[in-house]
Amino acid sequence: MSPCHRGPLALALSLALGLASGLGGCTSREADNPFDPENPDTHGNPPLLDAVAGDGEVRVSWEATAFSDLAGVRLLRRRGTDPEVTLYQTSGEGSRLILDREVTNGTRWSYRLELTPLRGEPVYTASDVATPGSAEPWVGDALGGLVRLSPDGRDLVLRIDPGGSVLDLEVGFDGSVWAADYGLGALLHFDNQGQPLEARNLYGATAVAFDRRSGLLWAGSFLDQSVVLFSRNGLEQRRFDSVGPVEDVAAAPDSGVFVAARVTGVSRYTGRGLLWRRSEYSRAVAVVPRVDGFCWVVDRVGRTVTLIGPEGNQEIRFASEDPAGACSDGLVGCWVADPARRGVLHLNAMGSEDYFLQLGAAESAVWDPVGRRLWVALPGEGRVAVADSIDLDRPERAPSITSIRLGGRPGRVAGYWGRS
Amino acid sequence: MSTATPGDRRRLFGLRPLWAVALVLLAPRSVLAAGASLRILGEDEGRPVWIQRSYAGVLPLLADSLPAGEIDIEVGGDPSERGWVHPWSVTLRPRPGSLDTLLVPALQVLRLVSEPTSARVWFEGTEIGRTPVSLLVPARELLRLKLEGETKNAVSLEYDGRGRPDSTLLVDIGGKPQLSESALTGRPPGLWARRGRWFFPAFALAAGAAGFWAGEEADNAYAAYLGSLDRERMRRELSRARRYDRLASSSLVLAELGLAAAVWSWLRPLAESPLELSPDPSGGVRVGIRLLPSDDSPSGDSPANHGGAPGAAARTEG
Repeated sequence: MSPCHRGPLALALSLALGLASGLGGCTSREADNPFDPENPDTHGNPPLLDAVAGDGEVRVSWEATAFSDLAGVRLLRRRGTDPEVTLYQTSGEGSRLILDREVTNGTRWSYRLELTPLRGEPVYTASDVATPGSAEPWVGDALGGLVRLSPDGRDLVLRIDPGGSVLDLEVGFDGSVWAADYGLGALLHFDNQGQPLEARNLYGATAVAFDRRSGLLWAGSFLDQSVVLFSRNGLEQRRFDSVGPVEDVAAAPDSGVFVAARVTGVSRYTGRGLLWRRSEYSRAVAVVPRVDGFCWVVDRVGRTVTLIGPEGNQEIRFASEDPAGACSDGLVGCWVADPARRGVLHLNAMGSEDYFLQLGAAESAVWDPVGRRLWVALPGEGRVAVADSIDLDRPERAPSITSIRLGGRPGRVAGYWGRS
Repeated sequence: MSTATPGDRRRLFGLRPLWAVALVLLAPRSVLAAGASLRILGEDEGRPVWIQRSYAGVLPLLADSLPAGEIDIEVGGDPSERGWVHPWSVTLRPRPGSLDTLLVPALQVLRLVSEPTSARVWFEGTEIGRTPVSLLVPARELLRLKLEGETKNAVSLEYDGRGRPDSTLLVDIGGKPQLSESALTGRPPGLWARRGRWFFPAFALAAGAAGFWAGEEADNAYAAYLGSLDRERMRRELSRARRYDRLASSSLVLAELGLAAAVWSWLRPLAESPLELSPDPSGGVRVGIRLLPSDDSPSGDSPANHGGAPGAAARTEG
């Protein structure tokens, strides 16, 4: 090759080597080993262990079969702030399901795994906590079906997807769940394990209420503008028409139901018929009976929460920014979900706000009188939050809040709250 | 000055060459009494001859009454050839009262074509015109040509036409001569040119294989990293995986470059082949050309007799 060709060739080779080395540095493997401290997601402590609370038990499972140099596994458990104890130990077994029945309900238990490699120091998974209890909370998904959560609301236990749109649900005293499926136009009945028990046609079903005193079931239809009373054996006992587009139905403490309907307002029905009706509400979306026979009425368009007496007389009116739902506090006050204020506020017996809990765009809430927890649905975020250790007398003490992301549009929460 | 008439030329063409030569050689001195006389002989009989820019006849030729001093003699192309051919020329100073003989060497037509065209052409130091141009050159000598393009790029070359028929040269003036080195010198390709054709594909293959191997090693190291609980081993394996990744990427880039270079080294001769294999209209091919260093700019100090190559020297008698 002539000298005049060597210069450009040398230049080209230099450029090629530079390019090659430069491009060679562009590719990089991520630190994806979950136990790698450089892993940006886990920081070396992956959540490989899952502890799901049950009633008097915690189901602990883990999956660590991807590690070829696993020599030993130790399951560590801690109660509260007590020292860790070894609950289970094995050698080289990467996958396991353990039912820990040595737990007490209402206590917070913490679990983690210690994995020992063939060489080197042991590594640990992230801790997972579980608070077992007897509650069986259910969530209705307006974009799907039903979800049952663990008693502490940290885990999803089972999901039922009948293919409709569950707008309301109610749990019976036996733990079975009734769901008003607006999409399917039916009332669906499942046992607490999610097995279907029965289904009843109800066109435009939007609300369901279980009368624990009588065992009767009330259901309301938005499209039929009717309220239907079902007997204990599931037969349609009475149907009341011209109720209005039903938004909510709630069983009164003595007998009958309160009905919130668009246009017609709030009505009080018993098995014999309409007792009274008040139609001054712009758009009543929820009714919350009190143990003393009074009832809280949530008017979303009127932006008020009103307390009415057993005969329908209006007693107290409280203004809120955007009241979307409410629930009883187990006594005479109520919790009001206000998405505009991004939280839940508590009204005392006199209709005054005495507590506010900021959680997000809450649209409904339910009070667990046994565990004294407030369950709040955040449909816009696809989440359900649980506020524990609420002290109404000391509002400055922040409660413990956990939440679970379910997806969809969780609209209503109901539960079998178990033994007190 | 008396010259042969066209009728003489026709008669001479009608004679056999030996008879014609004999006629000229045996011409009596009395015929050449006044002024200088010149016999012009050559192998290419029938070529037209001009003396002092005036047509004098065809070879062989006897010219008398030549003026004193230097005279220009030009030998043109075969009348049957199409197009104008720059004549072969020589300058002589015949002695008065004597009969000199000029032996015209065997001539061939050399056609010069350049890319781009209109390059200035120097032949043996004398500018003779612009490409495309055809010129008569001695067929048995090593000739020196220089072509200069509009961009002042100059290409000098030697043309060895010995034993060759009429030829055509296509010369690239655009910076680099497009003629391959082998075509220009007649020597085998250079070391790089020879080895490049095989080196680059081999290099690309080797680099590709190295890249593949490094990629596999990187995958293995990364799998070992992912499957390990030992943090020291994690660091080691991840570092190894990243190192092999870099090596793999570099190797694959080099393989691609090597592939490109291989394609280039194989396609370049094909791209140049129209120059190398350009058929000559008369059936010849371009051979025996060698490039001279191109930095010698064209100069105006041309000798007086362009075409006066050593082998074309005039011999005088008398």
